[in-house]
Amino acid sequence: MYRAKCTLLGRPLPNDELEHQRLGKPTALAVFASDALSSTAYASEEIIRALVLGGIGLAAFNFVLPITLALVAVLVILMFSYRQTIKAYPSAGGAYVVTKDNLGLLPAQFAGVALLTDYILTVSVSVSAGVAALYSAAPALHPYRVPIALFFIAIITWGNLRGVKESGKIFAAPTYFFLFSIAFMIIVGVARALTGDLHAVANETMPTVTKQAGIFLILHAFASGGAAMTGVEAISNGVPAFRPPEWKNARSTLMVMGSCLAFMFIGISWLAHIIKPIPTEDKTVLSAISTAVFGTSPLGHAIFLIIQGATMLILVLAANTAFADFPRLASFHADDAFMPKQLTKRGHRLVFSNGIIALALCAAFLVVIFSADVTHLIPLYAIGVFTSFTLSQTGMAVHHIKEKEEGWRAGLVINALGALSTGVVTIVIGVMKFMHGAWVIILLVPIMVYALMRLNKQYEHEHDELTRESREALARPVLRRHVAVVLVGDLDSSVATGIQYARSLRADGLRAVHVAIDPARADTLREQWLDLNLTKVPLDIVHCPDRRIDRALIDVVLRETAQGDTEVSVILPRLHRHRWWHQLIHDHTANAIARSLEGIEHVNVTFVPHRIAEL
Amino acid sequence: MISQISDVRWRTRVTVEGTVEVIRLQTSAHITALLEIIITDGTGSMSALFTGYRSIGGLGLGTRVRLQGLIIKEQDRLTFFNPEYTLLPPR
Repeated sequence: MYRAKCTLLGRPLPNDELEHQRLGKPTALAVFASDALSSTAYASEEIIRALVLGGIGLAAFNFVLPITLALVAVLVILMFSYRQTIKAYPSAGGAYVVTKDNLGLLPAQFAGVALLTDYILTVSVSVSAGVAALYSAAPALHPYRVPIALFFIAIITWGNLRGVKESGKIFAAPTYFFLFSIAFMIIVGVARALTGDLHAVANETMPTVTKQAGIFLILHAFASGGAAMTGVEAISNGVPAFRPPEWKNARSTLMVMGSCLAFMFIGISWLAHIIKPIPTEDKTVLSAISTAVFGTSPLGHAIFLIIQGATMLILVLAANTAFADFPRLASFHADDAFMPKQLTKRGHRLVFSNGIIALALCAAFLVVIFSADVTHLIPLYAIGVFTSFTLSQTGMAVHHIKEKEEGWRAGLVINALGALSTGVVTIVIGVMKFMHGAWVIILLVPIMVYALMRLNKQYEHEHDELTRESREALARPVLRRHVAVVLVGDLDSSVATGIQYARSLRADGLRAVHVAIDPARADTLREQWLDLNLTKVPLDIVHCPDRRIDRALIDVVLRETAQGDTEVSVILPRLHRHRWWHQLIHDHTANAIARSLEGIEHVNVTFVPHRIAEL
Repeated sequence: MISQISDVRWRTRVTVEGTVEVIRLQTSAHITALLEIIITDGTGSMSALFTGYRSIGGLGLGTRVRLQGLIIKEQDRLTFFNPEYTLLPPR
């Protein structure tokens, strides 16, 4: 097993290799921006889809740009809000930490869970959109989109289990490649449009016009486009990864990232407004735009392919950032005893392996359920991230009021504005997308938070009891009697090993116990036992008409412990298995017995391994 | 009069009825054979020692039995020592 793990994941990393690789600004931009920038690949499209499906026909393209600009306004507010967060929390300013610090543990759970669901959706949406970029270039692959998406998730999971997170250079090339190729497309598109050379495409199917655009439809489209905002928080989560002065570098990187995002988002939406491509099943709006901009000449097609490739790459990378963020956030929850402790464990390669695997499974599940369709996933997306924006900005506003650091009034205004605007957007998204699928998230998050609170109560209770009672327990009188009981199925050498061990305990009482499920077998054992002539070890044959061994044994031990003066050692002989598959060829009665006996006070279960020579 | 096992006291002579739950086989250096059974009547369980037997005909697991005799202490546990026994029909 271990050898397979080493082949798959590489050599195990010792603890002292756990250190942050400090990132310069250009690399940091690449590492943190892929999530935010990549959403431009589908954000404009989702706005158009929402409008076209709303039945307003080509009028949809008149609203793309205004809706995009409204979203960019929200983006600008967010950027300035996060500038505040970065300065106030230079060590780690994720929504969870900021909310916990200022609003308390319960709101922090909401912020955290909302973000976690969105990280899962980031993986599902980005990978699905990446596959869409692929099949827009090669339509024959459209029927295979789900297996391809799962393959991508598997690759990213594998990479993260090996620990690619720390190697920022992998990110640099695809992020800049995407950034420059989209910028190139926008510039060429704008130049052609200004010379009057760029026209609306002739769409194969014209959308039916059933009504005029209403405020409801426009808000719905706005909510769909909100996906573009995901990933803006990434930099504030990772300030310590910057070179010093960390917060200054993080801030300027945030501004550059926001500007790039705004430029690309507006550029693509503007081109869509001119070109008017109706989104279809197997061709993305972005691919339709690049075809229109670069034409169908061989060179134009080559550039089209390059842009599709760049889009696919960055989307897969965006999924990868969720793989860095989700396990870390989950480990924060677990550190505060709100999630299973296993999530704090660093694995073979010093990454949070359990978190990575959990994320991969959830994301793969969504991809399968929604057959890798971005449009169907979008209604679930973004509500979580906006919830966490709102909570963390509110947290920052409270922070300013409490701390009153220099310039706190300006900060308060910025963060209050941030909290207010993201709060409004959260409500808009929740209401507009509710029927389309957001209800799942709106229902799931409170249920999850309740579950986490319950889990926390359990951990607290265990912790209390463990710490409080250790002193008293040691002061209690030691029980004066000790009885050892060896469980015997058939008389064989594993039982002999168990009895020899039990004899060495020098207990006040020692006996073998056989639960008589099969009378014939019990009779054979009885004869064999009498032949053995073990004078110090009596054999109890226990009545068990209902064949429930564990119940019969509970009666046996309760008879011993009833008077409260006896410790019972139950000795369970079992075979030691050299190979994992040996587990499968033996039943696990001993484990089940141990589980039911361990609940009884003063009953102690010991497994005695019997080693069998390897075949 | 039939007593309940939970009411049985040391050094009294009692009669109880119950089901055989455990048969304990024991060989010892001093006596050739020692048979011990544990019976239960729903209120508790207690054991009965029979010396000189390896098994008693008819007295198997699940048998209902009436025991009558003096209660002694064996390793701090209340026990019948060579009681009179009557096999009862199954209920």
